[in-house]
Amino acid sequence: MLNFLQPWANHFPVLLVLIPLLGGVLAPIFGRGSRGWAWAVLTTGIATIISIEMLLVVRSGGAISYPLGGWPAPFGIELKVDLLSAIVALVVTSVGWIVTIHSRRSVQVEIPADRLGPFWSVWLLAITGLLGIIVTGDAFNMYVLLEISALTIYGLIAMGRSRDRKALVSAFNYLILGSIGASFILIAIGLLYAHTGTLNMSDLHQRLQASDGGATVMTARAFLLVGLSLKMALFPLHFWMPAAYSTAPSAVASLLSATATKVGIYMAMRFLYTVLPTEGGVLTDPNVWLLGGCAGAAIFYGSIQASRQPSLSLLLAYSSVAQVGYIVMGLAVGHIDAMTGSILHLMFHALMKGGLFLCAGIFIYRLGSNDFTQLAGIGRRMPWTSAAVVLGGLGMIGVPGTAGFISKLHLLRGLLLADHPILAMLVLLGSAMAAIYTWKFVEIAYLKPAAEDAEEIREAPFEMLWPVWLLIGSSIWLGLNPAPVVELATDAARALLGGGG
Amino acid sequence: MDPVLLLDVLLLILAVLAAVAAMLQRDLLGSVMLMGIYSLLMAVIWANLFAMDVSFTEASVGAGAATVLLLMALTRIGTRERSGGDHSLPALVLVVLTGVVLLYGTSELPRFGDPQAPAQLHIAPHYLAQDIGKVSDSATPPNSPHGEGDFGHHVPNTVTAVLASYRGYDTMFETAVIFSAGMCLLLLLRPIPRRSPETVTIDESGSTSHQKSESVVLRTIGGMLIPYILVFGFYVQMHGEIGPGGGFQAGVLVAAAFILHSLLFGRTATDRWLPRWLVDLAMSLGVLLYAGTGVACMAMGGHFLDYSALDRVHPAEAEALGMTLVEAGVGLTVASVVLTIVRKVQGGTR
Repeated sequence: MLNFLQPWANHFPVLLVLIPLLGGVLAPIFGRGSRGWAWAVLTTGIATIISIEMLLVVRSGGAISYPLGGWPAPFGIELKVDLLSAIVALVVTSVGWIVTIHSRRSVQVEIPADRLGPFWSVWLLAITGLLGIIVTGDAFNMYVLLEISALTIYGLIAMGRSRDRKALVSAFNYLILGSIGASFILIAIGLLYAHTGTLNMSDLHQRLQASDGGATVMTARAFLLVGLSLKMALFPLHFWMPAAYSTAPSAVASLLSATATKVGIYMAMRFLYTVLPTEGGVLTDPNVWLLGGCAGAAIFYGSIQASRQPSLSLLLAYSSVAQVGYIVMGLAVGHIDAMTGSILHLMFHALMKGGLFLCAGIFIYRLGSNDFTQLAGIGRRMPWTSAAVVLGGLGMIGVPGTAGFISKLHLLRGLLLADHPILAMLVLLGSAMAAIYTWKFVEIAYLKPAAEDAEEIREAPFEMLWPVWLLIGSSIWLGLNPAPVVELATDAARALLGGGG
Repeated sequence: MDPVLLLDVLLLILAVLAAVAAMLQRDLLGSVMLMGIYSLLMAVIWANLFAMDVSFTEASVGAGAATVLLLMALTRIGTRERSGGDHSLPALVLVVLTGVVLLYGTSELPRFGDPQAPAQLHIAPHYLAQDIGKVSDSATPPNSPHGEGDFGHHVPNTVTAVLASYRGYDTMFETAVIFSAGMCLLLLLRPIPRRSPETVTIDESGSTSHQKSESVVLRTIGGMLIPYILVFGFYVQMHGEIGPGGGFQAGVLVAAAFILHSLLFGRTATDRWLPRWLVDLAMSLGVLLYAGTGVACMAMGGHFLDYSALDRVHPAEAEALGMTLVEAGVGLTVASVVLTIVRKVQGGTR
């Protein structure tokens, strides 16, 4: 551990939330104008260091519990960081950091200069909300932080309007749907509280496991499933996502695709396995069929739609619909290998899709849009960006040597061992269809000639390229050296399926 | 039949009618008014359930501030709903179905006020008795006098104790939600700078003279009210430990005094008393005061927001002090964000 952090080691869980919160609150004061970006990089950088240290602490010493206000659980609010939360926190902070570093120029172009202070403030508050959801061990506190992340994300998406007026409509649609999802989650938490008299997650789990449940708990589960599906954009409640991701400012799209839906999935893992009652650590059959069915449909529908889209942003957004399907499928069937695959895919997809959306943003920065008509022959004019898109696409397919192969391999093994051959077929089918939409980009970028009247386009500046290659490159590196990460994910999956808290 | 129950049922029916009427109303002004009535009815219902703090908040925020903000928004977008409502039958079926599921889910809940309900037995008794006691850590002296009760009779209002101490972390983020709302508005509603500076000044002075009230009676009587509203606001702020009230309600009240001032005397006059940079700064300062109090507790060797760490010798007094500080932070942020929203909605273009 870094020496100067030692005295604060007890406080890591709260510091992880507090640092971006203070950063966001102070941004309007210290981060005016162009300094806002440096302020955001500093804040997310510190958060990344803390989350690395926290993962090391949890890895060696087990889950951390932090009693806020000094009040013991379940009376006060407890922060609880186990291996899964530490992993997801590291994904959010590190990818958030890299996206922030990348975004200086694109934000300068897409956000009016007099609003940079509020922009970076809202940006950091969104990260605060996501991190707070990850580290909390209290069901109502999770809802409060969900409010922060949701509110700020609506604002961030709406800022895409200077490029595309449709951003206002997609932000408004997401606001309505997100609010419905959040109220469903709140209703469920209220029902669970009325049934048990507690809000602490481990306490809830114990008391729910001991009670016979009945109508109240069943209704709470139904409302939670609908609310969480909206938040994580699980088919058929995904429809806000493609519009929102394709019209948001490109930096915001990268941040959200890598972090926001992942945190929604994390919430589903938490609620399904460590809050709601389970049957010997796994979900009951109707739940598996429902979630698995939606996930399978998401893979199929998302992949088909992705290959029919007119722009790179929309293609990537529909591909995300499919990828959410893979992750949810793995978490639903309740087999250790499938859950490992699910956690691995959550990490790898954040890296790959974050990097791919950064590429989509680079095309917007250079060309003004990333419609496929504009991208004809781009492979020769912007070789580094285009190559990154192709490598990321190979990861989406799951070609051996990429990280996507490792996660899908575990997922497939888990599905087959848990006796779900049809779902396993869908995973293979989805991978084949990912090849189709990746090929679509290759064909346009490398095989089509550039338009005659195309103006001279230069490759993106180095400061925008290296974060992309860091993300895509690390996904390749993890595909070649998967052992440590796989071990980490397996341990996290085991803790989750053990009903552990 | 119990007359109180009868009153409750009547009020609930009225509230539902007001909500439905607000949806069906084509005139947006009427819609906003009906929502205000709905909030007021809910405030009475809360009061009837002895949830005084909730009632107070609903009255000041729901019926008061939200109505004013919506009315101001209407002055900019007009009061006619443009398109006729398109009623989709599947949507209605879905909503009714959701309602049925919800009724089914609540059918097995304990009866209202049942003393044997889990919510009454598990944690709440300890909140009422204030006998929880802190997590022991190395920094706490062994004879920590928390035995006489967590707050040693300094915090008679249990709601405030839960809000600001037992679940103070939630309240910090509720304040941060308010701050985020203010920031999102600054992000979205600031006038686009492309217009030449001259037009902007003409616009602003023009709107200022519109907003100034010309009536001598209004200005005199209204002006006399402002100090009383402010004093009441500060009273609610400081009194939260003992009676209903606290930072959220007080913040709205203080903001109301300044909004009234700007409506009566024009915005430039208000800006002289309360410069804009100060309001912008106060938004951040409120959350900072809240979080800073928590960090101070950490620096003194306690957990985040463990106010008793501020004074190990008199932990109960330190609890009360910490709660006063964080409530002040809440009040500061709420008041300045409400003022900012009003300013943006009044004067922001696009």
